[in-house]
Amino acid sequence: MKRFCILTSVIACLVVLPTSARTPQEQRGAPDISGFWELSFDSRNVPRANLLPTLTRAKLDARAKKDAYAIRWCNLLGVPFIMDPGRPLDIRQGSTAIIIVPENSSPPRYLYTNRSAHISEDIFDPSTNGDSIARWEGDTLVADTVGFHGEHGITAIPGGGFRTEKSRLVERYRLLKDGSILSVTFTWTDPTVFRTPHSYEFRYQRLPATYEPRQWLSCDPFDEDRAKFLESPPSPKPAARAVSKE
Amino acid sequence: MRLRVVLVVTFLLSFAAPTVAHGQSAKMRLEGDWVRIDPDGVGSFGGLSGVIPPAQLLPGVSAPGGRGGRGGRGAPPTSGSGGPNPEGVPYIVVAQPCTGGGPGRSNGALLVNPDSGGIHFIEHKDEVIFAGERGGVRHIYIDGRSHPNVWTPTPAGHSVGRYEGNILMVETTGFMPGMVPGGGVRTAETRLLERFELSPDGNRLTVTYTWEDPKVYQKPHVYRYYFDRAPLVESKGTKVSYALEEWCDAGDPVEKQSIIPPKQIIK
Amino acid sequence: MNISRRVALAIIGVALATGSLAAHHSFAMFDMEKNVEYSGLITEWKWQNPHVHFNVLVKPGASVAPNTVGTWDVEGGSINIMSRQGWTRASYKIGDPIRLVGHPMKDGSKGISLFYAIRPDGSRLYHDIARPKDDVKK
Repeated sequence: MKRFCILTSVIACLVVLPTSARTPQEQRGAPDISGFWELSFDSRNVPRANLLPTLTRAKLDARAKKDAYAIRWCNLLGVPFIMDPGRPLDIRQGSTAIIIVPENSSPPRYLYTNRSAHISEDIFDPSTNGDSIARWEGDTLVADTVGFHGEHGITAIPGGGFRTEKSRLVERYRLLKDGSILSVTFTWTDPTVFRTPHSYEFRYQRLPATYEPRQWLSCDPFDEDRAKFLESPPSPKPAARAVSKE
Repeated sequence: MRLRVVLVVTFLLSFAAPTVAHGQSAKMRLEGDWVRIDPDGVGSFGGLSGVIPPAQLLPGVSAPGGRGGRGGRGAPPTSGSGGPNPEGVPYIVVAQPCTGGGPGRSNGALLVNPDSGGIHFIEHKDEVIFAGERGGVRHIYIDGRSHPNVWTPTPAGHSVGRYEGNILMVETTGFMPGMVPGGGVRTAETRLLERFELSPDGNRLTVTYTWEDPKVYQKPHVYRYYFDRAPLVESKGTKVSYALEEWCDAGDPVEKQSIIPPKQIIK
Repeated sequence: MNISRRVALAIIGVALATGSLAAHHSFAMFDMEKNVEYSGLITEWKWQNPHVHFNVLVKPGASVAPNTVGTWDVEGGSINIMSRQGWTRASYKIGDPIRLVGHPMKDGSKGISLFYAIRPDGSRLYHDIARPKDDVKK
């Protein structure tokens, strides 16, 4: 009996103590995808998008010019760019939302877990990040985003195409390899851009918990030297060294 | 019997065990959207800066242009390349309206002392994210880490925190030089203590700022900001609150301009 | 480095770092001490940054102060700041009637810095967090 009591108490303490310190999501049994995450050279599996034939080269070039403008003028960059911004992401899972914080001068993303409907189009101002709601399906976080601005920020989508105000993005977040990898599958649909849904996957690697993100990388639209650098055509590739005929 | 009592007490205590540095979810109630308020009814944004007690600076130390905080309605002009139009230059002169990640908002002033834009907290057991809608994000580590020994000063400095009951206590150091509301100054060596305290109903947030720097201040410079939960808006039959994006395009001539008196239809 | 030198460096740093910390422009051209009520129709609605603008046509009438007659450009705050006070891009549209209190331009031209709009039920829709003493939420 004594042994039984001791065993019961120990088990109860082991179960209850950690639970009291968990976030609401954890308490409901969902994983915690919080952490610092980065992409490496082999982290992207991006097939070519199946674009509508109406998207001519001229249209795509015009869109690329707009994206260059956004970079030149330090605009907010937005989704999908900030999911691959060249620096680690800080993802934190709270009780109402999951926040994704890039290190550049773009606002963070909020994946709201406390509501199941998007904000009404009547009042939502389309934005570079859109309006994201998320729910857990087993061990997978499924985020649904609409409400994108069709012109603002970097609109290019990996694999081809670009976001418009008609775009919808569904992301599936899942931890792999004991939580050391975060797989995110992105699926874009847009009747004005894609013939078929366009999916690709990124696999983020977890950084040590002691990582210190850089804060708010500066971008000065009035830095003339920077502007000149961005707007002037790149130097031509040096000619191959002449081969001696001797 | 005694053993049973001990075991039962141990079991019950395990429910009530106070949380420690790494697991404070029971105390986390800051999460959500907040907006600053004017509890004294000073009537103008500039006036809000005016009610902050003046910093007691050491002799020889003076605050550069203005009293910190945002200029604006009724406020004395502040200096800076993107500063105000001189009086008598009424229209379409706005020097640098959208500073993006540039030298304006990103200096951290709006992160530490928010203006009228919304702010958001996301609370996780290791870190509290404090995001300002009008620029920037603060990372407040509550995982027990210390300030790093080597640190390059940043706009919002390096913050570590802990919960004391319902109060989040945050210590920040390693700032880039900047102004402090009330005529104060901050340097890389200045220490800021912030106390984020919720009202019992959880709907009012009082932030007490204490700036300490024996090379700048005669005594700690203390003042408070007050916030309410952001007003909910009606969406599809429910009341919601959500983060907004602050879009402003520094390259857009329309977004650079200010007041444009319209063509008169009726004289 | 001695103290005064450090402080001097800090001050120089401030000058460089603060940049355009101030509002998008001064409100010095407005008479901020004067609160004037205007009633008219919205003729243009620009829900845009850095500041929201809308035009209001005030027609002459028996109960209309003559000095308020005309078409006025009303300048609000940023979209973000106004949204936090309850405004949305759908708050008003062209053709809607509006009652508002604002600060007129000092030089008499047709510009107003918005203080608040008055909704049909009499409640106020402020453009920023500032409140007059008679409307403080303690």
